[in-house]
Amino acid sequence: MAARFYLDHHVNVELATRLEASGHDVLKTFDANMDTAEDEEQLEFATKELRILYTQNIQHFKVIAERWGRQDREHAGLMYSSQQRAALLHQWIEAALDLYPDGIHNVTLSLPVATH
Amino acid sequence: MARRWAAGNQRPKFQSLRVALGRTSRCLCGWSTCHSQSQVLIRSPFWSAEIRKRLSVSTQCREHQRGESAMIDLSPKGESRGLPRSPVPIESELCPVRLGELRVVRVPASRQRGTKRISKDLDLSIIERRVRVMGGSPIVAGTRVRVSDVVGHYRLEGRSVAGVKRALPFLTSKQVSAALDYYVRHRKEIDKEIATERALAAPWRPDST
Repeated sequence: MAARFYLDHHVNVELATRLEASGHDVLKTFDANMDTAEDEEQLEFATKELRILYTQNIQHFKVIAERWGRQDREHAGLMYSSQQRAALLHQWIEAALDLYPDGIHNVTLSLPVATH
Repeated sequence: MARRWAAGNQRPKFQSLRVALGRTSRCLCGWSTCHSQSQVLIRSPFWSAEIRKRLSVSTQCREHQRGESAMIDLSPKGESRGLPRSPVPIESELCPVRLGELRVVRVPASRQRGTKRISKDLDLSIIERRVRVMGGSPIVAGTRVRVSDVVGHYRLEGRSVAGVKRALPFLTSKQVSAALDYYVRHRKEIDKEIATERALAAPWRPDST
């Protein structure tokens, strides 16, 4: 299932390439001219663009997502995880999309991290 | 610097000053909300007129236990060649070190220990903190890339600056090295941030799938 993604600035560009290769529509922060945007602006922008925001800043976006939830504000989907190899992340994201056949509108997903 | 110290072939004894920041100044620890007003320790082999141009400044914020040390050029026109400029213009409202506001007090020699070796290369303006960008973590100035992200990419991409640049092509080598340099200087803080992120991420073990 093809989805629309918006990747945060610090995400490996290899992940963008991989997602694009598997047919998703990917927008990078750098290409959207949002390099210096504040955290909340990122989520607002992704919502406006109807894109799933993927970030590796869990601790701060978790707080923002919870606050939005309390305020009944909807976003177009938020995925976060800590840093790991792009190939592995790509698999997680595909697996997460498969779990939600109706799309992940207003769903906040924490992607798994392999523990060694 | 070497030329200046050549006379008599002896490093001049540093004169140390402890400086209290003026009330309107920001704390140098980088948190814009911090009001503890860093203690700025200025070490300079020069005195009076020279001190207005070239200063070795080391700061340590009492509240956040962090600080920087650097040789910075405080002259309004940037007369000290080869030194990093003060991160913000001297005249600017945000300038952390405004000489007009500084109270300069001599520190007795017995209390002068603990100052770090001063690196001429450290550029204070490459790493910054902004409260609403990445929640106030140290970031590469003008981006949304935390120092901890650079460290993570560095570890995953073959431990090389080139590897980090492959992952984040918009960064310059200078920015990457500054971030890694920051990590070396503030290891505890960044390691803690990485650990916090890992603890928050959903755990996955091979047997649970």
